[in-house]
Amino acid sequence: MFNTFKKALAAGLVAAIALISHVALAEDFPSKPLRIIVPFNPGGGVDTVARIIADNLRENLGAEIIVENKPGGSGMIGANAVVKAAPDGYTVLLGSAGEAAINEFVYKKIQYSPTEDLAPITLVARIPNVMVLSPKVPANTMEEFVAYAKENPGMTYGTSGIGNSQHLNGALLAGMSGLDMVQIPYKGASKQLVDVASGDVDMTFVSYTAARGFITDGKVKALAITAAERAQFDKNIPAIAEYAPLSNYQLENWFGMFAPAGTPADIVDKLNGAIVAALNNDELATKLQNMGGQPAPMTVAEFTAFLATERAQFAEIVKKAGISVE
Amino acid sequence: MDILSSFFDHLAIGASEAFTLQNLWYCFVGVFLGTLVGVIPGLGSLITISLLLPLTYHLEPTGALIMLAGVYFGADYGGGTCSILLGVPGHPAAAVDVLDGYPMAKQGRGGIALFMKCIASFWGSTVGVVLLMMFAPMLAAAALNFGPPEYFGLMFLGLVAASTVGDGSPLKGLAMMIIGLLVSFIGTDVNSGTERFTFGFPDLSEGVGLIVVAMGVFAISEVMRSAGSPNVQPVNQKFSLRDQMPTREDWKRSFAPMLRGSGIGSFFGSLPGTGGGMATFLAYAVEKRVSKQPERFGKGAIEGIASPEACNNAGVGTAFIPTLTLGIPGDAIMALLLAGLVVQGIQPGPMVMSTNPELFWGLIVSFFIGNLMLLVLNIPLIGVWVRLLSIPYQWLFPGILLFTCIGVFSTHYNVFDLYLLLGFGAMGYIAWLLKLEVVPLILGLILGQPIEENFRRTMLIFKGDLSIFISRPISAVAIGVAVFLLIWSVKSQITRKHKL
Repeated sequence: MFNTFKKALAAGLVAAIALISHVALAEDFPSKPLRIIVPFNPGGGVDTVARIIADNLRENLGAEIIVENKPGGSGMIGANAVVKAAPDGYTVLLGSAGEAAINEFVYKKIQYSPTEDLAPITLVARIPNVMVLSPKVPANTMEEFVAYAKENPGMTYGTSGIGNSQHLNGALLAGMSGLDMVQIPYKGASKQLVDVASGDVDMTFVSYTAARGFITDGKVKALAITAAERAQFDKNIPAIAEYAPLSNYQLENWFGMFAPAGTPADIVDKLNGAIVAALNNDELATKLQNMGGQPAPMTVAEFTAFLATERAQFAEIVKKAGISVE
Repeated sequence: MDILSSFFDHLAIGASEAFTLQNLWYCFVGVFLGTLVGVIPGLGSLITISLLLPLTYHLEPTGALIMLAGVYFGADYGGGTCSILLGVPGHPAAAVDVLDGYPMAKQGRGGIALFMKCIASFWGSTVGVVLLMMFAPMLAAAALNFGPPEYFGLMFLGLVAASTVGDGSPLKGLAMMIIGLLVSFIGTDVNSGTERFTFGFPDLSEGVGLIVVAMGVFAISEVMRSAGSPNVQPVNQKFSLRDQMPTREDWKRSFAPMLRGSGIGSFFGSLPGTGGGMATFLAYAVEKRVSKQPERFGKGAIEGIASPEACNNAGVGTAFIPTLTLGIPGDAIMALLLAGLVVQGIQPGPMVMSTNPELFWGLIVSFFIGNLMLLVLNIPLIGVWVRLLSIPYQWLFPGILLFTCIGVFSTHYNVFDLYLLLGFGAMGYIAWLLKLEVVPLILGLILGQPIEENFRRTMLIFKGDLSIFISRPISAVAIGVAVFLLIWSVKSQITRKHKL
């Protein structure tokens, strides 16, 4: 009897200590500098958003924030570095749709499972792509475009590489409207826009920031945006979905924050709180909108559900279009 | 006339903005920081600007941009210093200064090389700024005429120009270029996304960076070489300012190369994606080709400093043309500067000159001020830098190794790059033992990927029609000149053999 009591007491004590130390862990967090891994080069969209957020998180978390660029392998090198990092919340990933939800269906050699190896923290921003046409393409609405593309098979669209959100934008459009279009891969948006403006390439799907100069100058035609609804940054550009036969069309790029799987839930929550608070800051929201992004704070549960829906859609498009990299 | 009057209008707007106490201060901080990081091998403006960028979110945009741009061209300015004195390039574009600057330093003419570098840099940047002020909108429009076939034509011309430049055996030069091309093929194939020649290393999926190769074959191999000959006597150096002054002969030799270099630099700078190392190495190749005594190159020819330095700094100025007027950045640093502007709510594009004239012209006038500051800052410092040479090499090389490693590591935070650095160091050393030139290797590396990419892109867009390269005037001219060069060099090879 006494023995059992002693055992129970000991067990209780252990549990209590564990609980205290656990609570202490989250309360002390962060007690050292935190690294945000950006899996792309400095100056890109993800990098810029990371640096804006880092600036804000410094105050919200009271810790030094280091933005580290680990580019390569369509974002997978940086993502894999986070997967392998200690799950203590001090290393997080600001990832884009590619390495967090698309590449797993495209790349046979992917070295991690985004669902099992990454713990979602929150969505950060949605970045709708703008479908821009060369001035040489005689179409000014989605309807005219689809009709023209049907008569002229083999129209070309620029992308930033295989399996990129731009590539899926094209594949989804071609699939839904029954068009025959050819992808022209590039490394980044700049030269795509030059080639679309000159008419060498017929169209491209790029972020609004990249295309804004070309659109306002009339060098390219902004036909539609790839989000479900018109975007804050330019209400004059219709959504592709406004054209009735494509009313289900929605495919945006997005950036989300992830921790390595196994990071304690209370630390994930704390990070979520700090990042959501940053995203609700008006000044930061303006900066995001300046670069064509829509701030998109979510709870951990919302973000997890969002990821599941997005993955299902990406998987379907990739499968239908037969996009695959050995 | 119109251009001139608008030029002075713009100058006035810019000067009133740039000459505020605050902006002068930002400009000074920028160029000073830039010179410092530029001098340190491997540490370039990219890492400095990415670290400074968040600070600028709280500054007013013009000042912020002036400071960041100052870092950019300041680092370019400082980059040649260690190239010349120690044979260790500060950044890839400055690697070309090693070729003739380092031999000059060994001959006790290091100060003169540094002096000429300052003058050529100043000249080049002035040309760049003036072009930027007078022709920015026109140059931006011209850049739009360059599609994939034009890029292919230009790069092909560059490759041919480079391959015919070697002074030793043309076969050796060709072999080194092919090695460079092979290295450039490592990485992800843009068209299919498939990895090539990566041997299962994910770290190679982005390819081998220019910085790793340049630092390896120049800096690391130089340390290896010096370690192999430990009893190098410090060269007889004179430290007074008068001894750093180029002779009349030096000035005469440098004048035309500076003009040509700034022309080449301005042209490539205004084309997005062709800047940096490529233009400077091409400028060097051109100088060697037009020279009546090409055999002097690589042994301390002052033209080998004057032209690439003028080229580099002219390109730095004109690189802002596509960035600011089209919103398309030419390289990673321009992308960073652009991101800094966009976050501040300034939209680059053709209208930036009318919507934010103070920012645009203020920035450009600040380039001029910054370059003047650099000149004033650097010329008195030449004597100090030259004293580096009086330090025995055994005290210097640990620092060189350390800084080179830090610099290379800071580009991707990837230890794998350090192994590559060592590998290319060994390669550079072996090439030196075998008397193989490394310039063709570097050019092969720089040009290989864009040539392939633009060729295949052209084929995709124009459905495999090769005649497009001839029906487009710009690519036709470039390819025509390349073919002419090829025939000419083969012919002169044959006649030279006959003479022997």
